[in-house]
Amino acid sequence: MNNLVLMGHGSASGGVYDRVRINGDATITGDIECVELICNGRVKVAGNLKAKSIRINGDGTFEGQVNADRLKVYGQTTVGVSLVMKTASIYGELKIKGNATFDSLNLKGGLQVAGDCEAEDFKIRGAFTIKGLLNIGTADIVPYADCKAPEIGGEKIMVRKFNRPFGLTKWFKFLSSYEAEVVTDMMEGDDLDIETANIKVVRGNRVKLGQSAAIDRVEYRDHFEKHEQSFVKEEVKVTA
Amino acid sequence: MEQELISKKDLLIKTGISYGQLYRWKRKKLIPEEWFIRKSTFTGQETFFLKEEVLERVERIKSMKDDVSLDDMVTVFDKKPDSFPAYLTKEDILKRNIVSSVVIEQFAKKFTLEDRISFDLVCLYYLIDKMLREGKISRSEGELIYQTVEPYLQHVHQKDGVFYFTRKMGVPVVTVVSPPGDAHFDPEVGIIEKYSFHKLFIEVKEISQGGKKDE
Repeated sequence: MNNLVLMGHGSASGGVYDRVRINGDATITGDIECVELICNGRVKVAGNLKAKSIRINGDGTFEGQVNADRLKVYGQTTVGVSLVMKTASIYGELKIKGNATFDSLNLKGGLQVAGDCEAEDFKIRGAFTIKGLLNIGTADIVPYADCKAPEIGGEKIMVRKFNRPFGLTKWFKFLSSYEAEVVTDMMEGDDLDIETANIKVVRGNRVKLGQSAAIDRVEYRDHFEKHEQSFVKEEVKVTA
Repeated sequence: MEQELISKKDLLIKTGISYGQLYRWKRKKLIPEEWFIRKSTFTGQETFFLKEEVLERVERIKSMKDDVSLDDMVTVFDKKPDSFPAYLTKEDILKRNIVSSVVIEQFAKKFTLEDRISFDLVCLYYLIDKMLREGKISRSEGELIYQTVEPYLQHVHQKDGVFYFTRKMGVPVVTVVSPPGDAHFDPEVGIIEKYSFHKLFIEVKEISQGGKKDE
């Protein structure tokens, strides 16, 4: 199969390729399907993109659907419609204007999803804003800034506090009481281990709350445990 | 028609599954997105389901999950019952040879060639035609089947059912069981034909679409 190599500034109409390599700034005006897409610089795809592996070093804008096995982003990527992905590692920012589905997502930086977000494995070091439902299998979240989603559901959800470098934390805390947390109306799951969050309703089988958790209502089935400094308005044991 | 709703909490208690399982099944598309009905209640937002629909689905997933992987299960549920064509014209039926002209003449005289005949009815014609051709029934018994089954067609389309044609001492009896279950007859009764309506619908659908491919 053909390879597509673009250096400098250029454009292509799309099609089926083996390898696509962009060094510089390129616009692809139609749908493109390839085994591997590597972009160093900036790429804009007006159609849908289907690939085995995608690597963006720089800025990628995909106006259609993106469907791939592997995605690696160092920089920023925007998806116009929806994203279906097996494994994704993002160092930087990922913005999706529709729904996003991952098998496993490893993100350092920011994630924005305008629709629903689904992932079996969800590892976040940074922040996310999700407008729809966040549906996750196992989640490991360390918020560096506020992580927002109206509804979070899953099996095992763990939210840990970010330990800032020693000196910085002291001064930061001294100046303001602000702390990054997970903000949501509802969190449901089997095993919930939440250190820092602001949640209206938490429902789960086993719930463990840490120091900076503020919850309006906790409904648990088997086990409930909270840190003495956590703030819980109401706790109910639900019996089946 | 207003259908009974069940809240997510009640569903989990009733079926004994956990939040994690429910969300996992949703991720695997075993429970379609459209089934989640969001409503605001005094405790904030709550999710509801249509009770009958979701309970049946959850029970089926529970019974299958030990033998079938979740990914394979999707294909089982993907077959939507309403994927049958809504109607066929009399011309289609004759051209694709779904039902013989004899049966059509007997039961569908009132329709013109271009008239749309509902798919359920076509299936019934097909059933009678099939049994006639196999020599299991006479034409007047075909009439009996038609009279018996026709009023319940809507019903078996929605809920499936089993059709029995039995004979005792030469006297024909037509039985429709809906929703599907076992019917037990006294030992002198001979079961001439037993047919699941769902199977019947699929069979006719395949014939009608197979005909399209030939063209």
